[in-house]
Parts: sequence; C-alpha cells; structure tokens
Amino acid sequence: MTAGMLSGPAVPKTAQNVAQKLGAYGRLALTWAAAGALVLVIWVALYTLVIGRDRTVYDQDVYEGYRLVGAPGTTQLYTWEGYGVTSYGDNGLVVDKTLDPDVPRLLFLGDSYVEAKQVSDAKKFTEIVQDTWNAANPDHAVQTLNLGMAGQDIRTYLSFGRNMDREFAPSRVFVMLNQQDFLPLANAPDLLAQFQADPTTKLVKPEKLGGAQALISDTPVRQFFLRMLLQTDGFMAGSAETKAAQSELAGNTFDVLEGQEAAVVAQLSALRDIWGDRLVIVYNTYIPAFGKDAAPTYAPDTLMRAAQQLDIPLVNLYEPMLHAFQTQQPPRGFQNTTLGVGHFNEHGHQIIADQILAYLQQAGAGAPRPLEVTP
Amino acid sequence: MIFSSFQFLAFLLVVMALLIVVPGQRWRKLTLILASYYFYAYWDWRFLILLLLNTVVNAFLGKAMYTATDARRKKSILIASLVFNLGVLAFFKYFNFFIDSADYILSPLGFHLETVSIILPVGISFFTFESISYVIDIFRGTTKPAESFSDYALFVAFFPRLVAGPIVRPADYLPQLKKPIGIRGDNVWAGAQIFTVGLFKKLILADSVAPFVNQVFADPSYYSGATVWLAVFAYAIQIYCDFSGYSDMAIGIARMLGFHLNRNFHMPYISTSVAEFWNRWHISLSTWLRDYLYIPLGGNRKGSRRTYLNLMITMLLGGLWHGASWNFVIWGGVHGGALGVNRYWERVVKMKATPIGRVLAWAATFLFVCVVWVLFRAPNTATMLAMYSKMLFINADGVQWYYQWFFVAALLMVVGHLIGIYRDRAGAKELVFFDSPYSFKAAFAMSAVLLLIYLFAPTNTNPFIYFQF
Repeated sequence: MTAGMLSGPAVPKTAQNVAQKLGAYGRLALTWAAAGALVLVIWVALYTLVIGRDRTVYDQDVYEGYRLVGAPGTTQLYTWEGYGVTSYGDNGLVVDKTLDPDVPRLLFLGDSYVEAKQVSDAKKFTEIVQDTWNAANPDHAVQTLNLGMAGQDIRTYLSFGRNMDREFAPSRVFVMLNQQDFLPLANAPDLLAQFQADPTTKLVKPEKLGGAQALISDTPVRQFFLRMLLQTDGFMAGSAETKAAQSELAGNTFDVLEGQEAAVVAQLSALRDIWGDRLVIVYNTYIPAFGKDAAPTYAPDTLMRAAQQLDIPLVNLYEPMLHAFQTQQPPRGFQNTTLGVGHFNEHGHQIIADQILAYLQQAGAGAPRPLEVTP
Repeated sequence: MIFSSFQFLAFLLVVMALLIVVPGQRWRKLTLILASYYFYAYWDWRFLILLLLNTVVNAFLGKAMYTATDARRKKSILIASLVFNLGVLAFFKYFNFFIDSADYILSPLGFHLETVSIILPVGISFFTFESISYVIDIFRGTTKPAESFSDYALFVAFFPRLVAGPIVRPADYLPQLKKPIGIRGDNVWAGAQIFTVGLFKKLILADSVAPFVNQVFADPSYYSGATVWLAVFAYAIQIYCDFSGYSDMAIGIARMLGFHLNRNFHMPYISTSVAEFWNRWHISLSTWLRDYLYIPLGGNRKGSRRTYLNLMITMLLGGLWHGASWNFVIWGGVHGGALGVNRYWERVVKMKATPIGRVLAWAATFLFVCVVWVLFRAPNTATMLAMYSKMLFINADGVQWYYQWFFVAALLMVVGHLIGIYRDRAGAKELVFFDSPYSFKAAFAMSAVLLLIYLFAPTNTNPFIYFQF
C-alpha cells in the first residue's frame, strides 16, 4: 500500500493521479468485500453447525399463527449454556410426545426456565416428574407436557391459555412464575382490562418480519443473525441503560411487586379464569447470591399473598433452592457459564421435580389421588 | 469511553477525519489536544481541571529548569516539581490510605481519624509519572523542554495512552511532534492490526475468564482447591490479556494517528526468572522505576546489601503505585524479595543452563508469579488467606467448577505465545502481520478475527483493570 494514501506529502492532483487513487481504493474495496463475504459464509456455517441452529416449533392451533419465536421446525442446537441440545416435537411441545388419551395430563407453562434447553430431555423437571410419579404409581400414571418457551410471560399464557386447554385438556396446569412476569401487565392495566372484557384479546403482538428477516428466520442460520443482533444491541450505548434497568430489576431483591397488589390479583384471577382449580403456581423466587445472608424461610410477599387470597396452590422453590446453594450444590449455572446464576442445571431440575412431586402427593391427601382427565 | 466501545470507534473516526481535513501542523496538534481533552472529560469533566493544572505547572517548571543557570536553582525547581506532582498524586490516590493506616495504629491510643471522600482521577498515576520524567530529564540534561506549550500539552494528554499508559518518555514522544502529523494509509493499516490484537486479548480472552475469576475470588471457601487453582491461573490470563490488550490498543491507536509508542509487554509468562519477568511485564513502568528510582538510589553500584535494599524499596513503591492498599505493597515486596533471591542465585549458584533447567526455571517463575497474583487480586486479607488455604488443599472440599472458557482461553494463550516466539525469532518487532491491506489473505484474516470478536465478545464489557491505577 502506498504511504500517504489518505493524506500526507502533497502530490499534484493530475487526472491520472486521481484515477490511480480511485482505482486503488476500488481494488481495496473489492478485495475486502470478497474476503468479508467469504468470512461471513464460513462463520455462518461454523456457527450454525457447532453452536446454534434454531427452528423453534410453535403450534398453529395454540398460537393462532402468531409468530412468537422463529419458524416451525424440528430441532434446535444451542451449546452456549449447559447441555445444549433440545429436540422440539410437534404441537409446541418441548419434548415430543403423542398425547395419551387414557392418562391425566400435567401441563407445564413458563419461559426458558421451563423450556430448559440447557439440560437433556430426560433431565428436565417435567420429565423427572412424569418418570418418578409413574414409577411409584403405575396404576395412576400421568403424562407431562412441557410448553415452556423462552421469553413468555403472563401475557402469552392469557392470550393462548384457552387454546392450550382445548388442545391438551390438562388435569393440572403448572405455571412457573417469577415476580418480573407480572410487570408488563402491571404497567399496562388498560390492556388487562381489555382482556378481561374480551378474553379473545391478544396481549402479545405477532412478530413482524421484513422480507429478508423472514427469509433468514425460516432457515437454520437464524441463530447466527440473532446473535449478531443481540451483540450489536449489547455493544450499543442505548442498551447499557436497558441492561442497567434489568440488573436493577433483577437486583431488586425481595418484593418488586410491592404496591401492585391489585395488578397481581387481577393477573392471577385472569389465569384462574382459564384453568380454575387446576392452576398451580410454581414460584421461582429470588435468592441472593449463593444464598448468602438469606433468610431461612421466605416471608410472604405480594405474589404469595395474592395467591393465598385467590386460593391458588403455590409451590415455593425458595427453601430447597437456598438449601442447595448453602450445601455447595448450586442449582443454577453450568461449567461453561457463571455458576450459581442463569438457568437451572440438572440439580436444580431435580429439586423442582421433587417439590412438584411432593405437591402432587399432598394434593392426593396422603394417597396419590387419580387425576381426572378434563374433557 | 473505553477503547472497545462503539463510542470510542466513532470518536476515533472523527479525530482521524479531522486530521485529514484540518490543514497545517499547528492546527492538527490543536485538534489532537482538544480531542484528548474531550476524551478525558468524557470520564468526568472535573478531572480535566487537574490535567490542565498538571500541564501548566510542569510546562512552566520545565522551562524554568532549562533556563536556570544556577545548580541550586535547578535543584529547587526539581524539588518543587516533585513536591507538586507527588503531592497531587498522594492527595488523590493515597490520602485515605494514609489516614486509614494511621487510624489503625492510633485507634488503640484513643485517637480516631476520619477519611474523606476523594474521587480518584483516572490515569493520574500515568500522567504524573510522565510529568515527573519530563522535569527530571530536563534536570539531567537528557532532554530539552517541549518547543511549545502545545507540544507539552499533547505529550501529557495524548489520548491513546492517557488513562492507562504505556508511560511515555519525553525523549521518545516530543521528537515525533517535529514530524508532520497526518493520517497515512500504512500507519492506519499497521495500527489497525495492533489494535485488533489488543481487542482480541481484551474481549475474547480477558473478559471471557473474568466471570469465573470474579466469582471464585468473591468467595473462595465455596469452591474446591482445584477450582481455586484454576481461578488463579485464569486471573493470570485475565490481568495479562486485559492490560497488555489495552496497551496494544493504545499503541495501535497512536500508530493510526502517526505516533510510535514502545511495546509495553513482551510475553512475560515465558520468563525463566523473576528479573526477566519484569523486563517483559509493564515495561514502561519497570524501566521508569529503574531509571528514576532504582538507579538514583544507587542501583547495584553500592555493594550487594545496598543493591538488595534498593531492589526492595523500588518494588515496594512499585507495588504502592498500583494502588493505595497494603496488598499491593506486599505484592511489590514479595516481588522485591524474589528479585533479590534471583540476583543472589545468579551470583552465588552458578548453574549451567540446560533445557531441563530452563523448563524448571520457567515453571517455577510462572508458578511464583501466579501464586503472588493472589495478593494483587484478593479484595481483602480474609479472601487472600482463604485462597491460599484452598491452594494448599487445606479444607479443599467445595464446588468443583471447571470453567470451560478458561481452557479455551488457556489454549489460545499457548497458541498466541507460540506464534509470538516464532515471530520473535523471525525478528518481528511489533504486532503487524501483513504489510499491505491489498492482499486477499490479509483481508480474510482481519475480517475473520473481527467477526469472531464481534460474535463472541461479552457485551457487558468489564472496565480495564489498570484504569483503577
């Protein structure tokens, strides 16, 4: 490359000189465009093969064609955290199952904590519950259905809950919730009122994709471009504020819903309107880092008081999770991520399964109660 | 505005564009000065007052020193300069440390001293040392004052190395201001390559192991002895890649703007002795301490005992330079002791260098440096003791956490060092791999590395460790 290409020693600007320079720039641009394109193709291929292939299934009947997370497909590979391979089946189920008409179904709803793509299918708490229960109660077998999906919250459960009910006819519906799940609707009370007036109202907006976006989203390379978008967002200054707000929210330890009692009651009531006494809340409570200086028991907070007021059963994960932290068996995190935070690892899933099994035992008043199939 | 942010990229592009369109040497210098002040004020505009005060006072004292004919007057000016520079540094950086220490000693006697709230201006340790070397060099007659106030202002404030070095000597920097300032394609290309290496070290290596290091050092008692050892090695990777990555970025940015800064790190972890380590680690600081502290103390010219004492004093103060805390002082002291042992060993135990001996010497040096990093990193004495007891496998039970990114980073470090050794033997002096950006190979390699960084860099970037110093 010639020294002083951009500026430097004064050179008479003859037409020939200018043409030479432009030619050099053009050659440079072409070389870099070609190399860049080749690099992009190679990285897309490597990333897709080794790290992320995302073709999340969603059920057209349940989600009414709403494009919530990507396009229909069959498998997902995502090795960023934990185990990393998840199979998606038909009908929006995390673990592919054919519905058994003869046994009660336990439906599990939640976000990525229920979807649990960090552990193998057999280690997901939903599968542990089914396997353990059925081994102990062969005459009263159940089938668990995992409809967890990253990014969902109460808006999704309300919007599509009746469809789920129709599709899967569950005997019990376990919804894993944390306090943050209530905030979107707590901040939009008109929307909830609209839904209560008309239960067909959708509280979520369908993902709108442009031509190129839709094209990419329908292919396995979606994860690569999604990561590029997330990285860009992360590097941009604007997202620093979002991250700060999120971390403040996450760090807001005990009761972020304080003062929002009415909103919490309204949202829980709306959920109960769909599933009635089949609704069970699995409460994913906040635990301070590694359980340090944490109270041994969880004092009732806004969410718990609301659930009690509405007589909705609640499985609180606080104490067993705290115990796991304090006995040096962190229930969250993996060898390739930060231990102690993030999604549940295998130990965490076992703990959740144990709690849900204990609830099921208790719900049977001493003896396992046959769960009835709801028509 | 850290180097690895989009804001800085935009800032740098604007500065480069200005240097292309602004005509004349004088205006280009002014552009760089104003850009540097903007860069510094971006952290906290109040810091700029201190930087300006430092500039005005030292520029004036430098001139006064040069024009003074009387030796006593020169000495008085030198003392005034040292009092001013060290006084400002002591106030901002060490005041509360001294108060705390005095309070610890006096409290049993019933006296209590209160600390005050002082913000540590970023980069103060770096530009103070540069100002001191300017005045001392003029006093020694090894350099002349800057030709103009703007030259001196740019020497102090030059933004690529303003907040975390490398520490630049006036004799290296000021002559560069006599050459035409401008953006040249060859410099931009070379600088971009150096910068990219630094970016890779910081974002891919240092930041990827940071969560592991932070978590284990936060509560070592929770983890097994093996995990704690891994965290210590991970910290060795983190601090090296963080600081040398920053230095590479600073050197690369300076090069893009047409300035040459000396390398600050030269593969310190391949050292086979502690003395060699300090010839390869933070070179601009270790040579500064050698030239302005160790040698004036007498160096090795006043007998062996005095040499050991000088080494110890130099390293204790070098440790204190890193931060107002006793752990840094102890860290410096342990290195001072090791340098003494090293010197004694070389003088008394004269061993022939054999391949096995070199491997053992490397392993011992590396292990020593890593073990002593615990002193540097541990936030308090309790953590330090907990780390060491786990490393000695006392109560070594705990969570086994074999952080996978550590192994990736360690592998990349090994590969990087092998490439570095190969390039060293080939006579390469800087991290420039391709002479011309016109080759497809160069464009491909650079694009591949940049996309890799973009894809895998943690976006919650940790601030550079050395900013705190």
